[in-house]
Amino acid sequence: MAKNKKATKKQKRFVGLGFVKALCYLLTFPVIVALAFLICMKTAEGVSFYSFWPYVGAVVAGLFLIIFAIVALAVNSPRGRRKHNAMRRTASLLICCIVLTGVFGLAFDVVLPDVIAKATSNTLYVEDVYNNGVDQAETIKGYTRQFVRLNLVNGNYDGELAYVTFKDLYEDPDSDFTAAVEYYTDVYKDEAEDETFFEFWFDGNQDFEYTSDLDRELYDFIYNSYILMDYDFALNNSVERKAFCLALVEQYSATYEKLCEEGFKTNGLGALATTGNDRMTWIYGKNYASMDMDGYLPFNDDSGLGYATSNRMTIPVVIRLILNDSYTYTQPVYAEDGQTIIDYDGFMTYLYMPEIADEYTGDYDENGRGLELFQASDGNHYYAYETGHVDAIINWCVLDMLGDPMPLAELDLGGLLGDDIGAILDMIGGIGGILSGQSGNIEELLNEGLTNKVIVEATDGQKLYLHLYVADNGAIGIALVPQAIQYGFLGYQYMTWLESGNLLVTICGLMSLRNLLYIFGAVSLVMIFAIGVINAHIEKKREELEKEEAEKEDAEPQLVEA
Amino acid sequence: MEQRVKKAKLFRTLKVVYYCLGLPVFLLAVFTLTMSNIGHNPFMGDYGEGLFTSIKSLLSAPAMYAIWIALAVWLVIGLVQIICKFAIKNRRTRAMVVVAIMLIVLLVPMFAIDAIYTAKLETLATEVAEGVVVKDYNYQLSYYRTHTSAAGNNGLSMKTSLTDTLKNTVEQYLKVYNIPMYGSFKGGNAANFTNEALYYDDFGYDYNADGVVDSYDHILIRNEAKGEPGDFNKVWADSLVLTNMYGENPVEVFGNFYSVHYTQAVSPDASENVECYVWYDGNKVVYEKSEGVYGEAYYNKNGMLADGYIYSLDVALRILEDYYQSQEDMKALFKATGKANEAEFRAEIEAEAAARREERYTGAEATEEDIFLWGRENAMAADYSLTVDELNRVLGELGGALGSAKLLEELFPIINMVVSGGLSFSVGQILGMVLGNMPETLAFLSAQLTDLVNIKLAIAWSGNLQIVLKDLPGGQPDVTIDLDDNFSVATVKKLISSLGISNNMLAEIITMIGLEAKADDNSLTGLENMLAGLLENLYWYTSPVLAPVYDFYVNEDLDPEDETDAAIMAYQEAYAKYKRAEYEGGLHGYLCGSRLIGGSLGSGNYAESHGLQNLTAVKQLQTDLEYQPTMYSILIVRDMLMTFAAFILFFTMMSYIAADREILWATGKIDPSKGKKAKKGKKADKADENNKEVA
Repeated sequence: MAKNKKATKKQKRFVGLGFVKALCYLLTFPVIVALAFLICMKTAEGVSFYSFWPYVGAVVAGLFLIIFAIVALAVNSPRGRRKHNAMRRTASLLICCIVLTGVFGLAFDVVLPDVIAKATSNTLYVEDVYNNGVDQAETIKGYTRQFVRLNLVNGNYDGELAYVTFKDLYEDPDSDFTAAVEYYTDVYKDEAEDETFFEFWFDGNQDFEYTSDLDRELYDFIYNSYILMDYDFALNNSVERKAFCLALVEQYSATYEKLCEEGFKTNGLGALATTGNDRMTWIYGKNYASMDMDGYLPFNDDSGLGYATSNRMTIPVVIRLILNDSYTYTQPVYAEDGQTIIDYDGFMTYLYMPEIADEYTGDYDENGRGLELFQASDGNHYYAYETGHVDAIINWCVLDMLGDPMPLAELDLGGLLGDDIGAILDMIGGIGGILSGQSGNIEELLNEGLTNKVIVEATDGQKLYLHLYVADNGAIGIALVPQAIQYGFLGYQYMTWLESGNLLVTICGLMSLRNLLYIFGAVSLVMIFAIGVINAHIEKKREELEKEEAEKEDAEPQLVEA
Repeated sequence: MEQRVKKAKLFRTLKVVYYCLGLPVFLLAVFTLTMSNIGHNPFMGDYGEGLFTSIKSLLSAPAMYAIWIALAVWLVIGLVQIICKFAIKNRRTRAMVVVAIMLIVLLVPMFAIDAIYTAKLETLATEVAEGVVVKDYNYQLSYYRTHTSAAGNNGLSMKTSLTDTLKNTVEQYLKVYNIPMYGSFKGGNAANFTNEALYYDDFGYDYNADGVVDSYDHILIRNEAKGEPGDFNKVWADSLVLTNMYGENPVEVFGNFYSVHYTQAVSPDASENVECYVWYDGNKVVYEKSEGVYGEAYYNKNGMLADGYIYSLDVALRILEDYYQSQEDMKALFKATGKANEAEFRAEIEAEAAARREERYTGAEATEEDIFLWGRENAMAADYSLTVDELNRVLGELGGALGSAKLLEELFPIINMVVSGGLSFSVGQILGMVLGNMPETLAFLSAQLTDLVNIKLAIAWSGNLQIVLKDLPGGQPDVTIDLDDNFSVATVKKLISSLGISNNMLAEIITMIGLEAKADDNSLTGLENMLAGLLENLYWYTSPVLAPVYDFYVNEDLDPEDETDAAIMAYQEAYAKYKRAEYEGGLHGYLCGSRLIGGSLGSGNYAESHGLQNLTAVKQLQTDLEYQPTMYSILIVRDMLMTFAAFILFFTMMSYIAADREILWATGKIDPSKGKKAKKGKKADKADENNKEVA
């Protein structure tokens, strides 16, 4: 009886130690997997269209867990326990753990950096993702949203949602859109500061049901890329332009959020897609092919592009890259007379150009695309769509590859010239309407004359826009704007990122694993060692117990004989 | 037995090998990465003269922080191991405790560094001036050293680490401004001599050995220096104005040599001029750095930088900060002053300040010391400054010396034989060589005087040296200028007029090279006035004892409660800051070859565009230097702790396991017969037995 009680006590202690061992096992690779999963979840936020790719880091961690579990089971199996003592088994597990954590961590540091740089064409480095993986993933997601914004507002996605469409509506004083602009004008005038206005508007107004971050993003984009580039608003720093922008945000908000959520996930409808992510995916695929084959590749042959991506954009480099005559993949197909262009063999770009599309008078196919190529009044050739879109040929410029407007100067004339000019500028601000009224003439001079005639002539078809605007702080700004923005393109690097967006978020998630492997690898080693010490203790106690029992068994038969 | 001993030895060796693969490798990695920072500014601290001071300076440099932290970690772990050795008897429990504590000791500093610097950088980012960028901690942690090389892309997209960027930026500006950061010059330690005249206390000799240096010693010192009572103009107890009866210079007193300068001074009651001997110790240095307007540096008694002082980078940045900040302040404040014309207002400030300064030292409230000093220092200034009359005399001497040089008299006939038409140069070429380092000046000249390049400057001899200007534009006759005793400012005027350079143009050129000049008209008088103004601005003697004129810019009589007066006082203060910085960074720098402000920087090798161009650039560099040298060093150890923690723990554990095995083998607790070979042997024996039974 006493013997049984003692044995039970020892068994309970072993059970208790077993529980501790289980806890220690949980604090090894399972923790790494759990944390990797959390990081991957954050990376995957907002890009559900990348399916499992953001979770590759967690999958790799899971693989390590499985390998470790197999080794642990093998080492601690009855056969394993018979063959080796606790410390030896512990050493085996330690080696397995250090290989899976420390050695792989070192591999991330030593082997992967150059591999990743090469794989992403030096657009993404491990330094960007080691400690900033989640932020970097947010940046990549941001480009997805930017592409959606560009192609939503320029009408590529839907002509009825184009900026120019709303501009036309605004000319009708009875339209709902005009009423909305007037409403926001009144509201805006009551607010003193921009920030409080937005706090009021997006958080306090019940009419808005959408996330304020996306709406704010949309507002900033439309204001900077369209309002300040539109000569009807650019030279007149007024409440009206802000209100116009708000009214536009209201129109786009729901569609924009939906498209951002769906991203580039496709269900295979391709060219036939008329709505949703399929259409955006199709637009991306078609237009990217043109940029890649007729834009990037020819420039890539010119070593000057290397200068453009390595902070060597001096004026001579820019001029050379703009004026250099390079080949394009897409070539015209001529009729028998050798003069008339009847088709293009290669890649065309899908754009919303209703004035051009309206010039086509022929028939359309089942996809709504014109059956024949036609020459529009601007001298270029297009395929027209019933929806107001066209397939066009674009002559790419190096600034299109970079994607951003090149601000040339922003002159604070009031500050430069002192108060004497300040009063004059105030007066000019007061007669802003007169300048806006001249916007047509300014646009004619800068866009029609300078861009469409002079620059196109000099660059053999490339378009660069020289924009003047009055910034909100009263300074006069001048910017050189590539055509790519208007046509719905990001810079080449970012368009390529979108194509391999799943790879990039994978890298972000995977590289975040590196830190976990180092830190929790160390913790895992201590846990495994603790398990080893516990096992050694249990073994020792079991041996003592067995020895005691053996000695007692030997003693008992003597009593019976007596 | 033998096998037991062998095994025990094997595990003992393994124990040591495993330990060496842990913490020592970690330390080696930290040391290797730290080596790239050692010796590089700004990761090294101030230099110290002398062996022990320089060792101390090396050991306390920010570059070494990583090594100290790594060593501290090892020390703590070592102490833990020693304590546990005595406190815990059970080997395995001891191993477990040590390993657990090691995990904490390795990882806690890492997290602590992350937390501290994340918070610090967030705070700093909110406190810095507009335009200054402080990248977040994660970015700097990722980029302080780079892992990606330039492989495969022709180096075009190679990422430069932030550490290298910092080093390169600092080296660039040290080179441009010619601020030496090596050897004894580091930290602005060297060349800190002063032109301050000696006081009694500077002799500091207790002649009568009574334990005090006082007037009795002074009388005895005077006697030692061969002065006689009565010949000595003592004005007040603290000054030393000894006569120099011997007329020799330098004079030896107590084994030291002193130079003596004779000048005029003003008597205390300002009634008459008196003779004044000013004693200097050529080796006199400002011994201690002190806190002043520009931080810790060597200053004269009046708060100006010591006369021979060569800046440290920190002081140079403070001067530039004041220079740019004050300009922005003045721009913002001028309107509130209500003044009509800023240039006139500034001239008014300067004139009033000069008057207030003179009043301070000669007015009703001036002490005897003030009056004496004022007189003496102004006399010194005159002695060391160049006036137009003196310039004319110098030019006359020059003309006379060159014009009648015997050597030239004999050389010229030979030259004329060899070079037909005599020696002749293109003016444009000469100016190009001289002004080549100042391209903006040359561009200005080229733009203004397109005919300049065609003008020929010929050297001829006709009993004396002559400069002949030929091929003058517009068919003008040649201009001949004789170099003789009459060479003067007037002659120079004729020369530059013949080149078509007006006084105004000359003033603009002079301004371009960093000096202030203004021409009233194109006459000779106008040129002389311009030169007089120029020479006054080149105030070669700066008093080390009189309060600088900048201290008097602010009119204390104004009412700070009044809005306009307050704005005026604020503007005056900003202007004082500006002028002081302009002097300390401009002329002072010019005189010691480390010019910070002006036409050409450093020792004249770099155009102004090479320097820090605005306040934002200065503040950016100051902010970076405030935290980056320390942080990037500490990030090395943070990185290595993260990378090596697992390996250190692994090898430590393996070391303990090996130690455990060593003891088991040594104490015979492991039975060799239970080993693999024994088992194989037993298996073979059993198989034999079975076979026999069957047989």
